[in-house]
This record gives sequence, structure tokens and C-alpha cells, in this order.
Amino acid sequence: MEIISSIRREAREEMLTLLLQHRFSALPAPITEKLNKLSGEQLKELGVELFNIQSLSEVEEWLFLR
Amino acid sequence: MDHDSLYKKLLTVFFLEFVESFLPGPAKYIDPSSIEFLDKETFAGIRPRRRREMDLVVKVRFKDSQQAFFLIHVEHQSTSPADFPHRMFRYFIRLTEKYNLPVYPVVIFSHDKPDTLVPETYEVAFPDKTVLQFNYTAIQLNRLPWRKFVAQPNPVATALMTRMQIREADRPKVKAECLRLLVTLKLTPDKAELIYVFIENYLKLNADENRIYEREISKLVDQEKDAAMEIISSIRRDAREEMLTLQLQHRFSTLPVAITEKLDKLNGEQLKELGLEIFNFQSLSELEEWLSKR
Repeated sequence: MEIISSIRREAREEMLTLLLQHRFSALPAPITEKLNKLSGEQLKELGVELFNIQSLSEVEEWLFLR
Repeated sequence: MDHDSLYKKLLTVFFLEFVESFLPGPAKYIDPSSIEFLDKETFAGIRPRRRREMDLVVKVRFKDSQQAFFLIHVEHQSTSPADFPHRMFRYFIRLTEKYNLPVYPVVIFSHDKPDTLVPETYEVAFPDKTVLQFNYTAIQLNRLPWRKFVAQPNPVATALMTRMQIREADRPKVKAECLRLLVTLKLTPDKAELIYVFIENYLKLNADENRIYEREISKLVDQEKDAAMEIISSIRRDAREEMLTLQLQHRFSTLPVAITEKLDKLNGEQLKELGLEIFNFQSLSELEEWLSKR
């Protein structure tokens, strides 16, 4: 388990949220809720995974698997 | 980073500060300019069950001596198992054999309970005589009163205070004191974050305690509040850069130094902007162009 500060974790979440919003416009509440629950490590993974993701439903799928 | 590596990092980054606050004896006779961290593979295989990253071994020189060196060995323990004194002795033997230098053995106990006194010796004794009495220094945090350390502007003391002897009712106050100490230390952002991680993770408050904590925090003077905000925003800035670097590396398989140097110079807002752009770059040169305009 990686121990990081909540500040760093939240900054990662914010970056991803902005990026997803920018790409897919409005984010449905279930997605933001899921993002909220990801660990710092998972947020980092998603940040890289985004390059392989084409649609919001793929984001959902990725999140659903965590 | 797990708990052991976190302790190890704390002690590595702030080794002299640790000695100063917790090892008053050696603090008097080590030469502060002689610190050398030794290979971490020393203990491979000695641990029971799993191979863990070993704790700290530091080579230092006696003050007033050009030649005489010794080792300070620091272990971190989050429990106090019965066989620990023996293990400590085995480490001692291992280090003595490998380096042929005197060893000053130290262990930090960070468990919460029980607060019964931990042993500081390993003995081999027979009815007619004691063959061996091996002594080491145990820093048992849960028996150290936090108030003793609150007046010390020392980063290691601040971090470890979170595991010290704290009355139930004092917990929110201690956390607020830790934060106040942290901002007065004026550390670089990455060092401040390291201490902050200790405060946040090792002194977890419930909702009621949190309300008291918030009230305590609101009593900080403006200067301290500003310093706290500065630390927070520099951690945020750094987190953005970290995420972007990762994404860009993934995207372009490698990042030239010229680019990472430019990223280092962007402020938090610029990094946020760049974060939104990353899908628009088709090549490294487009990224370079974007960066050159900032």
C-alpha cells in the first residue's frame, strides 16, 4: 500500500475529473462518486489508462472493475 | 510506500534531526558531516517469513577523530514480538562481521498498545554466570510524553509525536500542534509533505475530534495559516506535475530532459491547463511548442 497525503490524492482526482469533463463534457454522478473512492494508486493508473479509452462507457467499465 | 519505508524515508531525510532529538548521547560525539547511508541489502534473508526492506544503517565518524568510524543501526517496529531482542542481536552480529566497526543499535517502537516497557537487552545467562548482556536503545514512542517535544522545532519529533503518549482528550490538540510545528519548520515542499503524511496517517481523528481540531486550527495566526496554504498548494502543484509526467511518458514513451525541465518551471495553474491539452498533442514537438509559449 502506498501511503500518500490526502492533498496529493485529491489533486490527482481533480486532474482526472477535469480531464474527463473536458473530453466527455458532463460527468454522471455515479462516475464522480466512483472516482471519489479510488485510491491514490488507482487514480494514477487511470491517468495513464485514459489514453486507451475512447468513450465514457469505457471509463465506467474501468471504474466498475476496481 | 508502506509503513516501514515511510519511517525509513523519514530517518534518511532527517537523520541528523533524528539523532539530535532522540539520541542525545551520540548527538554529542558524531561528526555531522560524516553521514553515509549503507547498502540496504545487508539484511536480506535474515528476516523471519518474508524479506522486508531493511531498516537503516548509517556510517558516521566520531567527532575529533579523522579515522574512527562507527555504525548506527535503526530498526522500526510496529509490534514488540518476544523474539525481537534476539533478532536485534543477530543484526548486530551481522553488521559487526560485515563492516568490522562498532555498532550503536537503536529501535523505534511505534505501536499504540500495550504501553508496557519493552526490553532493551538480550541476555545469554546460565545459573552460574551471565555470558552475554547485549544492550540496545529502544525508543518506545507510546511512553514518551508529547509535551516534551512540542517546544522542539524538529521535524522528526513532529512526525513521531503522532505516535507518542497522548491522552484521549488531547488528540485533536496534538494534531493541531503538529500542523503548527510543521509550518514553523519552513521545510521544502517535499520534506513538508513527508511530515504531513505522518500527521495525517498516524493521528486519525473521528468526527467529533475533527471538529475540535478545526477549531484549534482556526486559532493559528495569519502567518501560520498562509504558510500552511503554501505547503498545500505546492503539494498540489507537485501532484499535477507527477501525473502529467506519467501521462506524457506513457504517451510518447520517453520524455526528453529539456521537457521535464520545462515542466518543473510551470506553476500550478499552467500544469492544470496542460493537463487538459494532453490529448491534443500528436507529437512531442507540439508539446514543446505549447511549453515554449508559457
